[in-house]
Amino acid sequence: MLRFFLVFFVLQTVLFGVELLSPVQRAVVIPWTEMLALLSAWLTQAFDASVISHGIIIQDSVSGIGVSIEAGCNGIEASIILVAAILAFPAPWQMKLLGLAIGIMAVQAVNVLRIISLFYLLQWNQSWFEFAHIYLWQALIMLDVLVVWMLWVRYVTKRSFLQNRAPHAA
Amino acid sequence: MQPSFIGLFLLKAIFWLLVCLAVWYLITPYLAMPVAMLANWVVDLLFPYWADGVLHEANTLVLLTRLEIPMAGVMQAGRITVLAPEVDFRIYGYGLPFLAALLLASKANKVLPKLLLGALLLLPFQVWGVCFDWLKQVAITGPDLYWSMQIGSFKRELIAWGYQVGFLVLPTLIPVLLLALMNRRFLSAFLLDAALDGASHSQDREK
Repeated sequence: MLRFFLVFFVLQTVLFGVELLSPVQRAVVIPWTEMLALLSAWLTQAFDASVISHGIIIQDSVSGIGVSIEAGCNGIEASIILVAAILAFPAPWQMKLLGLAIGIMAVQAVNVLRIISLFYLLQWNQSWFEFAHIYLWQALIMLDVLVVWMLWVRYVTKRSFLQNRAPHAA
Repeated sequence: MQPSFIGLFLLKAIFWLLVCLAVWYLITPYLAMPVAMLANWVVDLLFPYWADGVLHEANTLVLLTRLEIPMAGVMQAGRITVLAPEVDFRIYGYGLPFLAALLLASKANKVLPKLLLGALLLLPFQVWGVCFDWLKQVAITGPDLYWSMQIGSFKRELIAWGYQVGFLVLPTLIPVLLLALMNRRFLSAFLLDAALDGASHSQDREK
């Protein structure tokens, strides 16, 4: 357990430092955030044609109310925590890669739900938007990371149990 | 269909998070008091030359400084004031209701003593967030560039990193780590559940 925590902290610290570098912000973080705004607007347009996106902003073209997707709202920090937790856990590399691919997608999917829900919450009530934005969704996203990691650990444990049993069963 | 171990935990955690956040929201001015005291001690220790102390009003923590800046506005031209960055404690304090929700959802025993210990263990991380937020306001986003220019670029980068970690990571990550430390029975039960699931799959295959 100590080894897991040490590796997790080192990876987490390094990855978070890398994320803050200006070239990484320009090449990865900002384009990713713009893509998230585009995706959120595109999904929302399925039932609300007045939603548009420009840059990192999604906006209601009628009321003019919009949300800007800032650091912490693009799911990158949550993904970094998941990456560090998966890499720190002892498992074959094939399973780690599978966990990273599916896990990051799951975290980002919930994050898109967060962006869309916050966009509508802001149009309804500023105070509730602030509450959900700053406290509720931050905790829910971390809960999402924890649950995704637990599901992956469960899969890894199950697979290694089945592999260990295989020679006896044969 | 029987709900899975993780699914049940997730549903309970969401329920308890909503309940605990609502309760926490009512008592935050009291929870800010120890953070204000600790932050006061930290700034006295680290920045005795320019920090004068911490003012605590409800959820707002104000860093009193001796850093002079020109007052804004045409009427105030030529006048000077002192920089006093403000932080809303709640931005860094919601880890406590999150920890409470995780402990309750994971059916931890002795929840109250664990929550009290957790509240104490969360304090340094909350102080980290508050102090780096003040520093960011002085060194990076402050109203006067003069004080920002007095700080080297490396220190500014360090402050930016400390602020981002304190704002984006620590409030939610530390409660999860505390859950792992405080409720090992939950972790063991979770791993046992996974192994039993593997065993039942293995038996199904053998049949």
